[in-house]
Amino acid sequence: MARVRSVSGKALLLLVLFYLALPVLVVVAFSFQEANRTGLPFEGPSLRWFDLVVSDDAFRNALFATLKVAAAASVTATAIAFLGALATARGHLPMPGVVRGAGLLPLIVPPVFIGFAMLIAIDEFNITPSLFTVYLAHTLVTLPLAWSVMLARFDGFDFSVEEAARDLGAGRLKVLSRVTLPMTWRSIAGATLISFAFSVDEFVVTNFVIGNENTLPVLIFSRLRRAVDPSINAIATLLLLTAILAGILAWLVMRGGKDEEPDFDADSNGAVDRPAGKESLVV
Amino acid sequence: MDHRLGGREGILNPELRSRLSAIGLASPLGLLLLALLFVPLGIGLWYSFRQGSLYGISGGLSFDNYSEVLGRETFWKAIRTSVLFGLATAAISLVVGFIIARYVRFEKRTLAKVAVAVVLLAVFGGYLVRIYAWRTILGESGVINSALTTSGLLDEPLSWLLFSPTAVVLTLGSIYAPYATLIIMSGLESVRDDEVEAARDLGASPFRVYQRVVLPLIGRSILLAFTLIFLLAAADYVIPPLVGGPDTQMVGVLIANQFMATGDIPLGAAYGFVTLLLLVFFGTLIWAAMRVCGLLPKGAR
Repeated sequence: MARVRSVSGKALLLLVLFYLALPVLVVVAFSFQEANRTGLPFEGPSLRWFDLVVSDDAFRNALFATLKVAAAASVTATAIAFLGALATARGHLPMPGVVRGAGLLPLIVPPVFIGFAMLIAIDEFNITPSLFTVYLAHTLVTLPLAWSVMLARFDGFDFSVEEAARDLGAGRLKVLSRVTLPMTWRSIAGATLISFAFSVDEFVVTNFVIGNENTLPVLIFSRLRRAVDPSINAIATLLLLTAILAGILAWLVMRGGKDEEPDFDADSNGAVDRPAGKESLVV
Repeated sequence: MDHRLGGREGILNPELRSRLSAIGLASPLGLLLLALLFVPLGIGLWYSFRQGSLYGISGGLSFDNYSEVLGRETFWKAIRTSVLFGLATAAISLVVGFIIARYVRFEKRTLAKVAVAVVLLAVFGGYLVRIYAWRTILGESGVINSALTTSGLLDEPLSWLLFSPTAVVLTLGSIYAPYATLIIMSGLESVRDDEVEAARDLGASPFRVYQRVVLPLIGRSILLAFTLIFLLAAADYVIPPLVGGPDTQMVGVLIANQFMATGDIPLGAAYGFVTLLLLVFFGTLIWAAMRVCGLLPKGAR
């Protein structure tokens, strides 16, 4: 009986994993297809579409724009989240519960509403939609990710260490640079990388505020509406690679120990290792 | 050194000082939310009461846009579709999420690590990319159809695979289920082994353990996942036009079209705010229903 249960549990698991992984696998596989279509039988493998894509100026510009926006937005969002979470966890802030929730708001409000509201505001203030407005939008929508990672970090932070440094005569900036930052750099790097990966892929809000520029998802969208174009597979694969690399990097850096603190309750209940903070993507 | 120590305690009392510095540290967060979320939504709300025409937007405020939105049959049809698809997506996401999270939490095998990797791959793995993939999979000359026809199982490709309600819900599910999985995983994390073992020692069957111990303990995560996925899926405006057909007009598309195609911005804003209100209403309804059904008892995490 127990054996049957465990086998059927495994079959179910494999089925849902297949459901989640299938689309990604299909896109990656067909980016290596030789033929000018995306169906079976598979012909290849070939790097034909990658060759075409990397020598395409539209692709290069979009890639560069995507990386620029993602770098700027993820750093800004993480810096803001760092300061806010530090203040919230230290406990001198009025209404800390409200502040905690507020940082998650941009995740809870569906992006279509954020998108059209920003478009109207841009219009009202006579700002031209550009990569700068995309940067602002991405800072907003990646904030909740950075926020939950930084909050999780500072909730487990021993603030008496900061106090000790101050009692020994260190000024505010020195405490920050010599104590707080070294103790939290892993979470900071993780928050930045997760925000980066999210920004690289963001389309729903971007589509409202981008104007005539292109990021990779916007480029893919504009080509989606044309007839069959297998170069999309190659662009998509490269986009995936960028986001997933950032994701893996985030996982590695956050997994490598809970910053500089001893980890007393590591794995006491035998749970699978998970990057610090991942479990609190939702607070 | 000494004078700096003294200066710190200076004019203001320490408590007021630390309070002010905390507010200072959190102010960028407040400013960001104010400038990029609240002010735009406020301006949007104001626009929704103005009049748009081919020649621009005029200043007079009225409820005309709202009465136009509420009087449109297409709007209510789109709301029905959105709510239906949102609920279906949330349900699929919960099932997928629970199957994966349960395995990862209670079975410590290599497959559990593979499962976590797949979920993370799906979370970071491209929104548009995966929508496009489903088109490739379900399309008339797509993976399934070309496999069926070239293998001789079918003479004609199945045309109903793509551009159907099933395709939309399938795609919505594959996009949003990974998020539900993460939420449920974090919920199961807080279920302690001894709580499960205690139930088992007292003779509860595996099913009873889930029904009476695990599910009530993660009620909050389930509720959060269901409501969040419902909101996000019901408001999606990209998926329905790309994989859906004539019967799958969702409300997000109506909103986006006002901004991208038709260009009546005040009317679009009115569409947006009515929709936001209705979705929040339905979300609250779900929350209340689940509370009444006892899915969220005291002590839920």
